[in-house]
Amino acid sequence: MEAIELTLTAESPLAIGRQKPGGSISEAQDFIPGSVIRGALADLLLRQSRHRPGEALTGDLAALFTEARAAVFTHAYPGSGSRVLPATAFSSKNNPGFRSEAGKTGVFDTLLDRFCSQRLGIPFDPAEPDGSGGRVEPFGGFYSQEEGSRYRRVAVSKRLLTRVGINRRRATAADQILYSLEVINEGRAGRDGSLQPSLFSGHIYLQDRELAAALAGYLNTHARRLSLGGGVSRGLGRVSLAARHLRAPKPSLAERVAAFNQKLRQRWQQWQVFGNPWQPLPPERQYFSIGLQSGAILKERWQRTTVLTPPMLQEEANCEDGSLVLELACSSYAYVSGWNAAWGLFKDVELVTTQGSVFLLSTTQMERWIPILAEMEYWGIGERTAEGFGQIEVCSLFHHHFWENPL
Amino acid sequence: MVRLAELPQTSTSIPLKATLASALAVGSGGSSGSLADKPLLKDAYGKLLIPGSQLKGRLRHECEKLARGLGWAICRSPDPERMCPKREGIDGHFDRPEYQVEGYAGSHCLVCQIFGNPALPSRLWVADLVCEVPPAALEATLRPGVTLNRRRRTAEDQRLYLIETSPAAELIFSGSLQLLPDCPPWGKALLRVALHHIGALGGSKSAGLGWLHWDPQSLAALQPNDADWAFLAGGGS
Repeated sequence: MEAIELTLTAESPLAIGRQKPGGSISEAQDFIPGSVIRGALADLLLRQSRHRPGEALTGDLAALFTEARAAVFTHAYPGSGSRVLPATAFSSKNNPGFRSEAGKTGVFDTLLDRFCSQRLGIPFDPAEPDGSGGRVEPFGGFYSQEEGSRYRRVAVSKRLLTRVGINRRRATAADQILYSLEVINEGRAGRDGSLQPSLFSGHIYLQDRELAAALAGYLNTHARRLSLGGGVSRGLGRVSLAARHLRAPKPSLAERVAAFNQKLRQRWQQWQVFGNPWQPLPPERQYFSIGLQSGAILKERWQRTTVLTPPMLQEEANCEDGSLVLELACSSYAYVSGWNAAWGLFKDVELVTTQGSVFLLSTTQMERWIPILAEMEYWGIGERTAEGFGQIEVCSLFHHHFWENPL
Repeated sequence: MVRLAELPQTSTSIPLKATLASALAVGSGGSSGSLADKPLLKDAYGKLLIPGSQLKGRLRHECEKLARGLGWAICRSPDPERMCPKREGIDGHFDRPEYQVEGYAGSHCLVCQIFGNPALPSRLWVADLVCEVPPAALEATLRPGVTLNRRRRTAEDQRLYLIETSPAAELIFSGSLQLLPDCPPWGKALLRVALHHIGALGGSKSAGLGWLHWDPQSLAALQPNDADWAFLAGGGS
């Protein structure tokens, strides 16, 4: 497995649109979707190779975009090395945020507590970690972990650009051509006068080492020719890009799964103060969580769904395991569409299981699943994985942070 | 067989510089937090800018004027119904071989072939013109204006307004034009002349604001050849 680490620096506002079905407002996304990076790169390559419409792709273009194991372009999230907060992360309703910010009571994860309470048949209703009894709510978005265990929320800032068409004969504003466009800001000025550009980071995963090296070289050479999103012909979407070719780090999945199970069983013991469980925790069974680091397009028997069921996972992994059980699911849905430049048409509106969704599963054959899940962390699950959908994180360390030790 | 390492650098990026000869008033719609009715447009760092959309629109307008003057049939932007390849209710000789674009149905006038239309992507990318002077070094000016009642020759009720302008200094704005590989070669000639025609940008041009001149080095990069001039001159034939 080869990986190219992409760092994108905005040089002008980015109009990465997100139009909801039936809506008339074009909102800006909070990140750069993999499909946008993939589409912009494909457009640049096709123009440079003087590709004619209707011709089949060949050579490196086919290997990157159309072959069975085409390259995976992950979403580029704001900041450097940012991750998606799981849907099980909670923080104060009135004053949400990590403890690294002054006056915040912190963020904690509820996945393992939800599992224990459900198994014990006890309602789970967490309150603020400072003991004040204040209400808590799901805390979404992106986070990054700095040196040590200092966590920080990462977000982009946006603004509205208003544009108007000019009636050429009267030299005044034309009727019905006034519109506002929400864009991601190119950066912000610090209080000390320093300029802080908006940074985004993502990955491209490929199988072929030579192709990865060639692509990284190409991206660095043509870094200033890539423009992302809408309005690129009128000043928007300019980015500079740095690509770093690296061998994908060897996954530490076995250790993560072991640590996750240890934490789960410790937590289970702590929950025993509330009474004897109606169903004990089987010692032969091992547990693992699958957290969506990007929206996933999941389908079961041709129908769209937002829950990753054991049959779906077995089919996806081509691995039969009768002992696989879905213990818990925290997921929601959204819609995505987009524009396909090659078709000249809108992409179909898809129902997407939202990023941050978490599924807790258990099995008695964990050793079989570890290499499969490790591969899935790169290749993703569901449909349109080459565009960044379906990226997962198995047994995230974020789930180890409980109510009494908020981040 | 396409190899990434062998792909050429085919698009042309032309740096563009303009020097202001008067104060500038490029209004930002929907802004708040200013006393002015029409505040200045700034980027996220607070730098003054002339948006690429405005410059592209002005360039298109000038190119349309020039091409029509040379006898070419040109559609009527910005209304998508009246642009190529639809052109509802527009007469003119659009059915000519020069207006065919490979891979796209219908005919596309000379200006659409550079600036794009609802069916054809633009082959010219215009970047914002940004003033590199730090915002702290610039003091914005508020200019009051009032509408007069022509019969009474006194100030009209509720017609007092404030326009924010840049200081009247020789500020340099820089940006770029990027010509994509499929941009027709005669596009350079049209753009060069169009830039010569643009003497002011922004609002209140007729009241003396926004006058500027282009850096000769920028225009030198758009030097066309005789064949391009000859092609453009053949519009009426």
